[in-house]
Amino acid sequence: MNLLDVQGLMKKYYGLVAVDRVSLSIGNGELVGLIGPNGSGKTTLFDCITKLTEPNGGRVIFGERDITGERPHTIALAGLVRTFQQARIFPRMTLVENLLLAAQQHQLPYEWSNLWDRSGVKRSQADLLTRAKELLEWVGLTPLREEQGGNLSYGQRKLLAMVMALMPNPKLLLLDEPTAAVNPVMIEKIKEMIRELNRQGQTFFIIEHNMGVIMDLCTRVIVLDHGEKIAEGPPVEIQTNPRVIEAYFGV
Amino acid sequence: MKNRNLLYLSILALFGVLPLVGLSSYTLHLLIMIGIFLILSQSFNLMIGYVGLLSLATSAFFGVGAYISALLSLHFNTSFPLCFLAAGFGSALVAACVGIPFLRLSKHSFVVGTLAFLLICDLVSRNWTSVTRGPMGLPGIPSPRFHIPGLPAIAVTSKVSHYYFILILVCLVLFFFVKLIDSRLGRAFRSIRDDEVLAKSMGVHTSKYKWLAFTISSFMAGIAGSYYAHYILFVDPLIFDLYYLEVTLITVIVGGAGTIWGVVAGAFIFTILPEFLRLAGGLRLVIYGFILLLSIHLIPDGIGGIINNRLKRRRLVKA
Repeated sequence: MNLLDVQGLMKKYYGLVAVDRVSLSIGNGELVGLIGPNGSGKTTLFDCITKLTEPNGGRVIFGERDITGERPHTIALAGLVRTFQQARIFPRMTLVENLLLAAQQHQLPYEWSNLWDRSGVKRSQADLLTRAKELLEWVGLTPLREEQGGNLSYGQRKLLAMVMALMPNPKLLLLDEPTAAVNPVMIEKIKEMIRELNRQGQTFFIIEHNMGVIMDLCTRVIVLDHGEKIAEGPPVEIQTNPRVIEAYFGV
Repeated sequence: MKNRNLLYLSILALFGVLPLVGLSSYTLHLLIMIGIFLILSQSFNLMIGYVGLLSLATSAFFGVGAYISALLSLHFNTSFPLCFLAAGFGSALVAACVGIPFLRLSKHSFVVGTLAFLLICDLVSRNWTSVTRGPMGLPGIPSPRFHIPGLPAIAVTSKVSHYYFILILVCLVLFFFVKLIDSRLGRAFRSIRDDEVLAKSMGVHTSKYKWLAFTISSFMAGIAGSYYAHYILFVDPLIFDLYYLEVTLITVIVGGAGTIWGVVAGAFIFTILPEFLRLAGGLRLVIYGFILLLSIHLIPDGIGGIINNRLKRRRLVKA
């Protein structure tokens, strides 16, 4: 049973075909990499899956649910959460608030009874707070927990963005270049985190330019070029695939 | 935390005993107006400071609330508490309806759309003479009265009683506002202000929350308008004048959008300042513009931003 099934997904910007009938599937517990030269449509593919851009064709099935026609927030609530390449966080909220917000919508829905019966809300808020503190401790940001997100360094933002995505216990996590523009020590740290989470059963789909990271982590790699899927397979095979080499080096 | 509560209580006590020292009725009037503008400004602050949308319709809902309250009390003899609530819920209802199309607009078109709504309200109040009596306005609005069964009716007519009424109202509004901003709902609002796309991908139904904020903000403007009508005892189309918009705008921007106490300070400054600027006559709005530009340049985060930075620096030095 596949967790994510993408069938013939397509995105056109006038003449330019950014994502060209891409089909792929990701199984439970997998750690799949998505690579490709700059401008090959990797981020656009993520945007189409999470509906931040409207695809022109194709279907996305998540679990047993067709999420092609859904809106970004319902997709997130279904358990498909993504991060952004630019390490987006909420700059004018504290770190703890950032984390609480990331999970609060997944908690019990707003109901009129919440207005007079606060016990349920209080309990779930306390649970979230505990989890937020654990995650901050895990990435070593605890001393900064009352700091505004905007005061963090770029690397710290990357870490925060990642634990924000983890907060609601997503079924599938789409990471857009988790190690881009991050120093080598931090890269090792992020790698270790991803590996540890995957061991615990977290499914990942990762865009990455850093081949070292891809080779170390992924069990399977998908390669895009000009919006088209040109190869798929274990990292070792991909490394020697002539079409991939051609796409990257143009030889 | 305990210190802060003590501070709030002592400030409240200070305002509680203020009329006992024998303030002139002019000073009391100013304080009452500060209270009214404070509620209106917080309503505006909720949109610009916490959801990040510039809604110029805030002062329109102030007027809508005033008219609803005035018409109900004049035509149906409705008691003040009912008028007051009807004005709040009526404004919220209007906002809930017009908010649906407005919030589909882009950020910039939303500003223009809400401004158009203000101008339309002005036109309606001027031309729907059978109901609003047009520019002649609605005189003879009764003062607030409270009937509690078993007790003698309380009539809020003197300046001092008005002062205490608005003091209680302001406390309630501020209490509600502080709670709101710190709640799950408030957090969702602020996430939209900070990064709407990220908020969406964190599961926030952004259009729903924007609509909710617009409605809550209009409720606040509506009750401020209702009280204003029952204080001034007269409503005319001038309540939709751009003047109220300018005052709330400058109060919130200079006070510090997205800060609660900065806006409180702003309400004090920009209700008292015009009294000193009376001498300047026609130059008053020019001076306002100058202050606005200067403060955007010098204190982009407003007074509240400065206070927050100071507090933080002190905390860091201590730590």
